[in-house]
Amino acid sequence: MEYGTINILTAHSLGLLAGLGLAASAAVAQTYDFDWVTIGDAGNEPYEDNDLGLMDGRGSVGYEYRISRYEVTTGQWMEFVNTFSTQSDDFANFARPVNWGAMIDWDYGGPGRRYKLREVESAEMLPVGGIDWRESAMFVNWLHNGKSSELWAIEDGAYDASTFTTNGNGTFNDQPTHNPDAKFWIPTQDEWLKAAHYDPNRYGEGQGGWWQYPISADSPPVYGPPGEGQANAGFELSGFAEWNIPLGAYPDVQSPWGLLDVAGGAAEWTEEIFHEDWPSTRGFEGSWAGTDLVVAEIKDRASRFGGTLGPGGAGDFAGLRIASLIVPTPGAIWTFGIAAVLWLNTRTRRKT
Amino acid sequence: MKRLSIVLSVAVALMMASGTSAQQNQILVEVHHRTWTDSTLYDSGEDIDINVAQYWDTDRYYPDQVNIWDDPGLVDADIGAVSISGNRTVPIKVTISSGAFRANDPTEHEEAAINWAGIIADQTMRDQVWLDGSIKGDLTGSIAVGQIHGLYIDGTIYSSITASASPSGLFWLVAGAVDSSVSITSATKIGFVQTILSDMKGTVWAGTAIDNIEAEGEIGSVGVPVSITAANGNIKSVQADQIFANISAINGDVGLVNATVGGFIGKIDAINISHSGSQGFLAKGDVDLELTLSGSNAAIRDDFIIDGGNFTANSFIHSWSIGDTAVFQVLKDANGGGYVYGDITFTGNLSTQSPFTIDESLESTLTIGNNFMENMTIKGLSSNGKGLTGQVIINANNNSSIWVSGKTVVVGTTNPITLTGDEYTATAASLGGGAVGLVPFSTHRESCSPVHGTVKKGTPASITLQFYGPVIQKVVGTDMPVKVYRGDFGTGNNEVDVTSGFAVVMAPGGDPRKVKIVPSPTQFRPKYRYRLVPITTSPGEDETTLLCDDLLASGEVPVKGRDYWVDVDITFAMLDMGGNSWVDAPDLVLWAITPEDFNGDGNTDTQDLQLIVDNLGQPVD
Repeated sequence: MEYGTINILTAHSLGLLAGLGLAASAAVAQTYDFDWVTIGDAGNEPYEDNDLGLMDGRGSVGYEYRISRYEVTTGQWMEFVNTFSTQSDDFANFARPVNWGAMIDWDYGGPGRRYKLREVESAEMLPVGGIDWRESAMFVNWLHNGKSSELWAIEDGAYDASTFTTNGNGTFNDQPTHNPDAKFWIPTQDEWLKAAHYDPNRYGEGQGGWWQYPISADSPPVYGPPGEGQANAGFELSGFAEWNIPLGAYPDVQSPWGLLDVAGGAAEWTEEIFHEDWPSTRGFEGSWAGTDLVVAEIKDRASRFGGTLGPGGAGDFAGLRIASLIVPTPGAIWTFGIAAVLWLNTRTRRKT
Repeated sequence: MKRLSIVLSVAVALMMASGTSAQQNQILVEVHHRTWTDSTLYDSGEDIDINVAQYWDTDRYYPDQVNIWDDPGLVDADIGAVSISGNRTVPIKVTISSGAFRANDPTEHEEAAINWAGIIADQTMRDQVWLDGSIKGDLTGSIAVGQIHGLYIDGTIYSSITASASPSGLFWLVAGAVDSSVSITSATKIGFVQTILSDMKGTVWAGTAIDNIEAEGEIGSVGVPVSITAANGNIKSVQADQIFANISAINGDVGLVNATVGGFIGKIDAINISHSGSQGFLAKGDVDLELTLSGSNAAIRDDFIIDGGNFTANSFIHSWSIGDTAVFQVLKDANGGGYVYGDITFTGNLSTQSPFTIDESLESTLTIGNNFMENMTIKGLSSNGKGLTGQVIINANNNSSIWVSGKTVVVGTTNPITLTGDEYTATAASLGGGAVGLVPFSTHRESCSPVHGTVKKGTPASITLQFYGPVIQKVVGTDMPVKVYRGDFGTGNNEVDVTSGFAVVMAPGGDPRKVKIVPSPTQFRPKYRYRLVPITTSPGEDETTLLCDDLLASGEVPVKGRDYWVDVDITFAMLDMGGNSWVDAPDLVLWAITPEDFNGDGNTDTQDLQLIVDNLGQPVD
């Protein structure tokens, strides 16, 4: 009986362990090919806005999270697009950006349409501009669901795409914030602000504070092409070639956490909804390639929003940087699993 | 009018005493100085006059911001027409909201009122007036200020908007819709204009560039195209469900024109259609586009795709795809499309890596000034696979440009016909009636009637030459542009010039590729070979010449002098005088009774009788 009990308990424990393991893995976000930066210093002091007050009290995040060092690249977005654009002719223009480093692959005969990298330098790393918020939401859904090629993979996960509807008065019904169990999501305004402008060692080791500009400085970057400036914004090149400057082309210009191209590249969507009683626009942050110099300088301030667009709006500039769950270390998972099993076994024994 | 001109502290005291009810259906105007604020209440919809003059005796105290809003946020009143006056040399910031002025910040303010009758700044100081703000309803009156930094109109814009200063005269404008009576004008740049609820039917004009225009519905409307003009810069993108617009950036490039749901009707004038993201022009429906790209290197440098529509109207494009990859596609979908009806002219090359695809039919003329350097596919009509009903002209500049070896024109899909170069042998009929011609156009022997190099039984009523491209007479009239020679049957030996016995009909049946030679009075006689040669005498010489037509080259370009011949033979039916379906002895007897001129030489003689003898025993063919 005792052995049997032990066996039963052991089996029970193993089952629980397996279950916990599955549960743990289900809650673990993949790394994929993103270069992740962990944003720590949970519960940091919020931003004190002495400019217009728009950001006053914002930017405090009470948990750790990951955010991608780079904006979503052409290579990453093209993989997403091709997963679905090749499924049928109806999806031929699925999530196609305005500016990116890809082009239609005319060697592909269908169904739908396939894209390939353009024959320009570092095409895979070119910024992605001109994607709307809902396409961005479907992208993180897709990541959440393991990059499955099934349509359900873009329909839910971080955001329920069935809510992506617009009313006759111009307001939308989109799910306002990501699901609590989302593995990847569009950064909240606070998450974005902290990742871009907050420095945990701003005033010395462990003494956090804020920089006005996302290059760990209170003065704006020098806007100009690589080798001349510090950010891909505030200037134009012939043939819109500023969009042919790859992400990461200013490797020494970083946010306090190491994020690249916060200034310049594409603008970056956030979850922010303006006029919550009349939701019609979402926010984006940062300057983008081709902006006017004076505009870029303002948009890169911590105290200013980048702007807002309706959920179907994208201009040629709206892009994405994604946030994600912290990945627990294997040791942490194991420790948690064992502890949980022991705890459950203890409870079981007490019952017997 | 209830007007209170008081310092802020007094206003606050009054507000506390009277409560907010006193401000229902009223608009509060605050004129901020450095250390105090003048506050004035206006009735809903009442006109508002504000003097913001600088007074230099205390120059630190001149007004620097004006707030106009429905205090305390009830948003139940309209703002009347606002007039701003007063001599100024420094900016005055006007915010249609309660908050601080947000220079170049498009973030929404709290909505200030329902409707608004606009704001006019006095001409003498207009450039100094900077505006931003937000309202919940419609803009019913005009706006004329220096700069507009961020303006949100939840309803419809019914009156014109003018920003007269720089650098970004109008940076960010978001509205529910824009009425057709509206002009949105900036002396310098226009940043972003978006409608988030419905159509954008107003005109847009920028003295320099335009970044982005997006409409939730349509831009323009059927029969009423709007003008979108960047007078001295680029237009980065224009996007809407359908677009009815004349888009002009004659001193810049147009980045992206994207009709996401339907088609495009209008014009595009620019140097290039160019963007870095491999999009240029996209439409999901019929496109009636007059496209003119100009400049020394003008080009479509990115994709031009009509997906599920037809391409009509004429387009003039300097060149296409220089140094970049672009495609030109007119595709069909379940709802139709895939036809090209309008003439398209590329004055330069059809460049490498620029495949040209038409799903159904090329009904018009595609002119390539220089080289044909990339493949073209005309998939053909669903009904018969023949899709080249129009004309492709290569080397229209007549500068010795070529059909590059290895580059093809493929017509059809099930049994595609691949044309690999000039003087291809596929008949025009097999392609759909059209042709691909390299200047100077050659004689399309296989499409002539009778077919070149064959034996024609019986006397043809005419011979129709066909060329690979349209041709005309140098001197329009009856002079023969073709030499007609008659020689021995089967060999062509002993050839004599019989041109004077024939006449010409140009473009018979309306086909400019055809030249019809008819007897006048001489007949085509059996048992002779007739050889026809286009007259290609050098320009200026006194002889009728057959010229290539529809070229870009300004001078006369004679066709290529490729000859044509046919052997004309008798038919046995002609010799069967007895009508028993055989050429036999009774026919000899009948000829003796009533002799006939079988060979058509004008003489009834033993040569005619010999034809019966030579063919005795032959059944009627």
